[in-house]
Amino acid sequence: MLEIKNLKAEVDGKPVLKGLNLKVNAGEVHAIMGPNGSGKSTLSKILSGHPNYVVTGGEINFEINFQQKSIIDMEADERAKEGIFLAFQYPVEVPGVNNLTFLMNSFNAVLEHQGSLPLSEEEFKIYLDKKMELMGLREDFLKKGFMDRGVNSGFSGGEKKKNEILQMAVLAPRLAILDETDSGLDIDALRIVSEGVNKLRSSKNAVILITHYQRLLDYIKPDFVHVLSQGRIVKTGGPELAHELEKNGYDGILS
Amino acid sequence: MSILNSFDSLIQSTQAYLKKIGIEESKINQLLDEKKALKEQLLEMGLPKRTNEFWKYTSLKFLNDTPFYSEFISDNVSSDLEKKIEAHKTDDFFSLVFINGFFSPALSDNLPVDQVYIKKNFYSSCFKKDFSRRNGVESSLDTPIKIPMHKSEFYFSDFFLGLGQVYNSEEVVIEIKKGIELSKPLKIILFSYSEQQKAILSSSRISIKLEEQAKASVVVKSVGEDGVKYFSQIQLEVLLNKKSNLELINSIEQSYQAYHIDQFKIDLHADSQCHYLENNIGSLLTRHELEVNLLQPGANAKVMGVAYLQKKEQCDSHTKIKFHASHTQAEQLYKNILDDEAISVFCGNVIIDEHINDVNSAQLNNNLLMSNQCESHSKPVLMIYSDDVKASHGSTVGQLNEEELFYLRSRALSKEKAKELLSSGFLLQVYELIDSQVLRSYLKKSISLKIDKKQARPELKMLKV
Repeated sequence: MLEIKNLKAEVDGKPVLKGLNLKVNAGEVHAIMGPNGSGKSTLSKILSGHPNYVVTGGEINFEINFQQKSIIDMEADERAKEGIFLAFQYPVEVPGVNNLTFLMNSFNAVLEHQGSLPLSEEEFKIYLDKKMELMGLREDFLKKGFMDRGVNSGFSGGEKKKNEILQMAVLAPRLAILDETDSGLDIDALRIVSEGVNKLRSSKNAVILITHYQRLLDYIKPDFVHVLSQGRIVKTGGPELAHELEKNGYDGILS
Repeated sequence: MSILNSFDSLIQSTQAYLKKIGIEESKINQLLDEKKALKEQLLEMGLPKRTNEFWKYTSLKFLNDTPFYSEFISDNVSSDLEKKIEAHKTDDFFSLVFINGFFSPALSDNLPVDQVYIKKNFYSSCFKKDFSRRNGVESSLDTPIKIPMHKSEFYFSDFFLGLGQVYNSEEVVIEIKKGIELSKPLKIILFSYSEQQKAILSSSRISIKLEEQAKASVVVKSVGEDGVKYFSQIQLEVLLNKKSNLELINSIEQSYQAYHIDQFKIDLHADSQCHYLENNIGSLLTRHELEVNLLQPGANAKVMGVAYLQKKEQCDSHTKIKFHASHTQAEQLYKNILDDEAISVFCGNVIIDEHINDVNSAQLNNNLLMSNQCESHSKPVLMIYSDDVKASHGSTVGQLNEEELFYLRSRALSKEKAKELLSSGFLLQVYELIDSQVLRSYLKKSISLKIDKKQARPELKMLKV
């Protein structure tokens, strides 16, 4: 589904990714771990198409209409329409833009791209309600009136992350990249968010989990764990690699 | 001055109007003589010049170039015009209709007489104790008033006060009775329209009074025909008595060829609250001059403005917030979006009198620039003559936040759609501060219509209203 070959990228003229290789198949969950500054967040921004992150070499191929195609020249919204979703480490507050309006516009943009008719507000509300219920967020979100508020506006850290997962559930991406979704979450929020991700797992979609800690991987079991260091994946293993990292630290693995 | 070249049309329309409402010939002649004298005074005074700092950005060249006519349209309006007026009336409001500045009781709703009453004052000393009742609207001619053509203490426009007096003979006074909360918001529709296809000057003078503990929501909607050139001016005075509460929207929804100048004066007495919002979504040139007087302790004003300007539209907002008493507060928030070659001007004056304390004043002007050719001018003027006061001010000029833009685009929204959502969201934040649900919905609808009209992009119809 996703194949990254010898990817090199820079931010503000500074090289961050220096020859990264990664292959993700449908149905797989890949965890990417690594010390601060190793390039984890850069990878997520590059994959989702942030304009400030520039690819300077290598390839990123993604399966579109049953064919592997380069996405390097695609805009962020085009990638999203093809099913790439980034759950932000720091979800952006967009005061004034109504959460429901935003989500409905997003969903309808994807529908229209797929050649379907957009949903009316009433139809979308029914769909959204089901997704909120599935994610275990319905009661809390309705009580707090989150759908009538500005996107992430005045939400706590945990609420923003839950909102990201709800967006993911609504847009049903084929490739979800979760950038440190566990950071800043208490145990209960971590459980809700993780359970949400697990419910969305299927043989047709894939997840890339970017995290600092093994803790998240107790909730979402990865098929592969990769260690990213200095812009490259230096070690790949199964879930046991995360435990090894937790025990010995990055220094123990990288030395 | 071309504007006064059309004085004959004014004489005719005034005569027709005064006859229609049953004023006797001799009084009409006296009133017209007074107008002629005023016209001479105006010619002598001349238009404000751009060398005057308060008129630096506002060009009045159009008043020299175009003769604007006065046109009285009687109550027997054409079905075409009636349809146009009806389009602005909705069931969630009581509507009062003015055409070219002349109040039309026949096209207006009947207001509940236990809540509110309406009377008219004339700009002349020739009326005494005259009274009529029509269509549920009380019309009293018992209060002679004269607007003195004095030099104002500050800068607000003597010329346009005078012009208003020349062009319109009456002031419509709306009084909300003591302790009453108006059961529906009031919409004052100021419609500019010419049957003779002429450039019209539409001049309205309105006064809104809230008795003690009265509460009301009011929209003043200035509107005209698309593609037609006209000049609309309003003088509006608001008096809030003790513990009264008013939400007032000044919504400029004119054609792209229109010019609009208004002067609003709001006086607040003890523990009264006024929330005022300028909603600028259409007019080639708009100039607002607002004076707010916090006269007694507990007076609280929120003064806000929203402008969505495109092409060569210009909006100048001049505010003058005067603190005359202790324990008063006023907050100003003006947000503008400028596209193409649009220009915005915000000139916010705050004056805090001597020997008062516990005063809280805040002022913020945010401008969002969507093109390289637009201009935004922001000027705070704070004159503080007491010590125990808080007075803040701030101004920003910037572009859309890139991270917000990326966030929306990462959720499958095109660049254009993301920009539209963000820019309307920038303004919707101000609308959210309005208490009345009906007014909020009205405002949101007005802005989405404006965006739809300009860009004809169906997705904006999805804006939650």
